[in-house]
Amino acid sequence: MKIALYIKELTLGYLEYNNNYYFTADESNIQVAFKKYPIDMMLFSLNKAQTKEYKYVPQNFLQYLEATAREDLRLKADIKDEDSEFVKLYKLAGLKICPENFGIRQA
Amino acid sequence: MINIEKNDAGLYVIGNEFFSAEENTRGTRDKFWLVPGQESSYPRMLFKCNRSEKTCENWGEIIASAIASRVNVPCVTYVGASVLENGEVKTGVICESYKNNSEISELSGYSLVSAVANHIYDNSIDMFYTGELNTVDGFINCINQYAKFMECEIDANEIEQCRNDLIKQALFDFILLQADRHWLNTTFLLAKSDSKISITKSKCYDNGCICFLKRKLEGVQGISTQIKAEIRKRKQSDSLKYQLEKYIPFFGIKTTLVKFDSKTYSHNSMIPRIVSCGDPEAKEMFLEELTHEILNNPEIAHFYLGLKQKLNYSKETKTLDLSDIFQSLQTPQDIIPEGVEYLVNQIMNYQVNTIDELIKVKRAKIVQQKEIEDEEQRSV
Repeated sequence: MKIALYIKELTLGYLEYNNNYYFTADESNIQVAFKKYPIDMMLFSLNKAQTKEYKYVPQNFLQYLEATAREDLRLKADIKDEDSEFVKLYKLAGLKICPENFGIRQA
Repeated sequence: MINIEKNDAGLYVIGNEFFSAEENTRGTRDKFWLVPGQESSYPRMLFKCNRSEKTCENWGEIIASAIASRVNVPCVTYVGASVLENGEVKTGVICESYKNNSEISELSGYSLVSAVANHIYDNSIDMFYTGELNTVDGFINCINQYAKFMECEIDANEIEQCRNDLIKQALFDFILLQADRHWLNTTFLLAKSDSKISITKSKCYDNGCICFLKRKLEGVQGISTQIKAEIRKRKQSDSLKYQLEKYIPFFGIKTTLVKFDSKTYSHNSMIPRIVSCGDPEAKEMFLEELTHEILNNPEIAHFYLGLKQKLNYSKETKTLDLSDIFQSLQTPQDIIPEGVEYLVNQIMNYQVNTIDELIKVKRAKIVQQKEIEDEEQRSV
């Protein structure tokens, strides 16, 4: 299971979970995005290394994690209490979501 | 009232127009975007459902946007709406986006604070930024920090205008007893031209939690009836005074950077997550800040006087008259629930009088101080 992080038409990388969170960056798309969408990309802070490990949910996914608590979205995405944090996020990413600065979708 | 119906194909229908849906993940209320077809003349619109059928939040949104429009506070226009979906009717409001140009980027208070906090963490900077963000200048300082970290130039005049717009919003929030102005409910719009970045404050949005209208209707009517009875007896309402003195809502931007989890000191916990002004002292400071601006900032003084004038303030009775606004909102299909108009009137008048009384005290002190100084000069 992978969750893609994107801005407009560009995928910036993929989030996976295996005890810790791993974000694999798409370096070339990130470079394009910095040129094409400089203001929005000011808020992007994951491009330090091609693969980055996180103990907690990375910042760009945080608002979406908070949204997994919302009743209407839980119902639409079939999110259950017993789902892990990552599975909740993955299920949410399966919905058609209007993106904030950065969008998520199932990959 | 706009009636929306979901058809068998899963599309939402308004009149003869069809809309698909996109989820909106912000906030705690059930909401979604209605996306028109490519040829449609309709814009994208957000439907926000009431937290419960029994609350008056929809009226909070509608009343706040009507008052904002009257007093020239840029605000998204909210209209009453209902959605019929799977045999169930949901009541709420519908509005357009505050961002009408896809080329413009938005920077919410949340993103701004997070960016600054992350920069501090990523660059191992000591926590030098311990300033509370529960003042407008604290927040403006954060914009300046942001521009510095991101090595971009933002025009000082634009920042000053953002500051004034934030103070106007804060005054508007105070008078309407706004209880939900947290960091996701204030946004700035950014556009890049040449090497500069232009910044403006977005229109106000998410104003439903004004004047206790987040409560259930029976609660709203209960307070309203009690106030009415007290005023009939003693010409003033002790319970309203008590409620408003005790009540500490999220006025303005009430966010702090210092309440992070210092035990784990993790990447995640550096992102401030507590939105709070939860003590009477903070509330007092906020009122102090607002009155200071009215007394010392000509743009804000002009705004405040204009607000009172546009809301038909009478010097004799010291009251605002909102009846024409309420009349314009009411139609045979959209009847404002009993008690709502009375409560909004009472609260707004109380808040305006609170500001005026403090201004009077401050002015008297200034005059007194001036007299002392004059006296000292004469004796010299």
